[in-house]
Amino acid sequence: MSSVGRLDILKKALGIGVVTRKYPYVRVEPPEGFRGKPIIDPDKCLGCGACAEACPPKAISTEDSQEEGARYVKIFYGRCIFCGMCADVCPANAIELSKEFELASKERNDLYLVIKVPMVKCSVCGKYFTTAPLLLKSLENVPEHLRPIMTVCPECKSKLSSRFTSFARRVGS
Amino acid sequence: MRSQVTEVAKKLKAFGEVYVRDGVVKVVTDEDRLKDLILYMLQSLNARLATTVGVDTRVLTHNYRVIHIFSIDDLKIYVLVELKVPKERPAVRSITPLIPGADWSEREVRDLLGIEFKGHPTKEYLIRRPKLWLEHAYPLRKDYPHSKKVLVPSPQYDIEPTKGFSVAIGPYHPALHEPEHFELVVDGERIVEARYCGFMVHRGIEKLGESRLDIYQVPFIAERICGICGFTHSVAYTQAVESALGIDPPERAKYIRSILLEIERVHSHLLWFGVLFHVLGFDTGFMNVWRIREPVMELAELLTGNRKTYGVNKVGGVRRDIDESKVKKVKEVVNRVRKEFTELIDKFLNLSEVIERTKGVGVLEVSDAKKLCVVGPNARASSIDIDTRRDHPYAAYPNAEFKVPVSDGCDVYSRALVRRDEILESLSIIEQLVSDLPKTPLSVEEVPFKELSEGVGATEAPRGENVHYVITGRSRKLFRWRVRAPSYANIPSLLYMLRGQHLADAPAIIASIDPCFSCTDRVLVINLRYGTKRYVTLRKLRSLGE
Repeated sequence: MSSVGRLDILKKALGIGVVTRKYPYVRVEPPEGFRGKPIIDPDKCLGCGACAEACPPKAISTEDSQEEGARYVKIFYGRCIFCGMCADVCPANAIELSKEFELASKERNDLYLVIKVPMVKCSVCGKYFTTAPLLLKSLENVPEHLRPIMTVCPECKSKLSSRFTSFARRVGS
Repeated sequence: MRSQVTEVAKKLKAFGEVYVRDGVVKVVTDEDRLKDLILYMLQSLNARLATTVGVDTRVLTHNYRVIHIFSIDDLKIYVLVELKVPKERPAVRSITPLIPGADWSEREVRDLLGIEFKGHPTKEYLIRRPKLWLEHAYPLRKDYPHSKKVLVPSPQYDIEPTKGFSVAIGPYHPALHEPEHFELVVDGERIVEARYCGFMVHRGIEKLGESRLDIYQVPFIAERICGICGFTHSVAYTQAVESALGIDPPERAKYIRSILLEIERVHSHLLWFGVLFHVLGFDTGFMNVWRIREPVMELAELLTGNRKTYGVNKVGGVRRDIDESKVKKVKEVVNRVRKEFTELIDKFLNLSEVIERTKGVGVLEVSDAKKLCVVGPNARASSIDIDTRRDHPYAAYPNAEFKVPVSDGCDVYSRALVRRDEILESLSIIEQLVSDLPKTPLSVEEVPFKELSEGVGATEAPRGENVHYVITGRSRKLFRWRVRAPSYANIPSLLYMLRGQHLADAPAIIASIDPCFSCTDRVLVINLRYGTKRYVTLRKLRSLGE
């Protein structure tokens, strides 16, 4: 066979020409739906922490600061596997997997994305206990007469309710 | 078929308690009846050992368990042979004298769980143990914390003086991309003896899946077991869990899984052709095959959002749909790849230099292949007609028509022929399934959870049968997860293939089974007669091959 086959291969190769792209001088656009760097929209984020719970490699974490009265939601891209579970579970659709894929950096700190979400003080003990957007969102589902106690933290709520119950018992007896 | 299974189950009752559940027959036997049971299964049922699993069930039943998983391809079932192993001085009878293919999996159970196998011919460790690792540290036992750090072992070259030269290939492979180590004893140009030391990158994935992750997170780590055929692992895992929990994923999800699995097979086989041509020094073939492969990678990126780690699988279904516009694109790419591939591949395979370097090279006799329980194209090229897609139907394969290519050449050339035909079959499967996507939801609404339920999931990876075994634990976690990748069954056969071959053919033979392990450009040559060591670069070794 050979010589004819060889000629065919040569002809084919010459016909094809160059197929490689001159990346990075020529940009490559990933297709729609590409799972690149996940980005949190700070305006939409509720700070609920569902993404941190779902993240398989634990690349997302949350941290509460009592001094600043804020919850920090952190993504560390160094651990991210770009699975998109965070975007799937986010109740506010605040996370989007962008088309960005060139994440290499010499600075470790460049690989963090930190979102600051304001928190709400407990009206009884004064401790920050939940984030403001989360509270506002849950208020929609609460009847009006119960809304004032929504600013009470769970611990104070349980203390208060036990005090009220015992008061009611005393009054009742 | 069903009546045959019940008949088999009835016969197996002579050897112990028998439980039957869709496609899986479980026999709980004891050491005395084990040998007769294995012999019965080998002789009258034509059974093939898939793997051996060790489970630390001390917290549940105060003993260990050893489970041998057999595949009976004629009956489309898996048979689990379970043995209870006492807690004190755990030991059980070995089946390696009966089935040489059990060698590795039994040694792995011994190294990681500390269960002794009585009558096992090899005392050497399979899993490389760092020197500072305690003698009695068994990481897969439940009382061993997953976060405990183990020091990384340094590779040791413990080669005994033998006749002739010993050529050590590794710890980095000259053709592929993972660490492993071959010791080839050569007499002149001929390889006399070959030995293999692997398991240098034991990542403890099973332990992680059992401890830190829950059942929904494991598919992502399962996908990272292999860098080339990861999706098939995630499908095998989800199938094992779905079988354990009694979930049947919707039809559309099954179709999408099958389509992606076949896309993965096409890209993997094309990659393999490239690697084979490259180690033969035929770089025109390598470049052209990889050029043909590129649209397949881009198609995967379009369908899943990533070129390689698809991440679309979840327990109970899939996460991403294939819509009409994508269907059109799939058909386009399939046609294009088929046209370009058929146009060139026969020309490449008919070149005299390719034929001379591959025909009659790396022969794996049918009897050896059977004995070692090899799988995939490696087995099919040695005329063993097995294919999990047909023998243990899963996903949407029952709805597709395809042939299983088999060749009786037993050499590197027939492995290439089998893979060539498989690519064409896969393209046809993709075409059939994509034009017939059923309109159902993508996943089940709710995943019910069952504690301590076991399941087996198997897929046909590009390299062969891929078996996952799970036992569910408490609070949506796994109690035990066992992975048997196809190369685990195929690598031992390399030692048979290499014997008596030219040293220059070694890279092509090693590459011919498409092993899943890796390389940097370095090879160590040890001259035992003079006790000197010499490092050669990959380029030099390859130039021997060119």
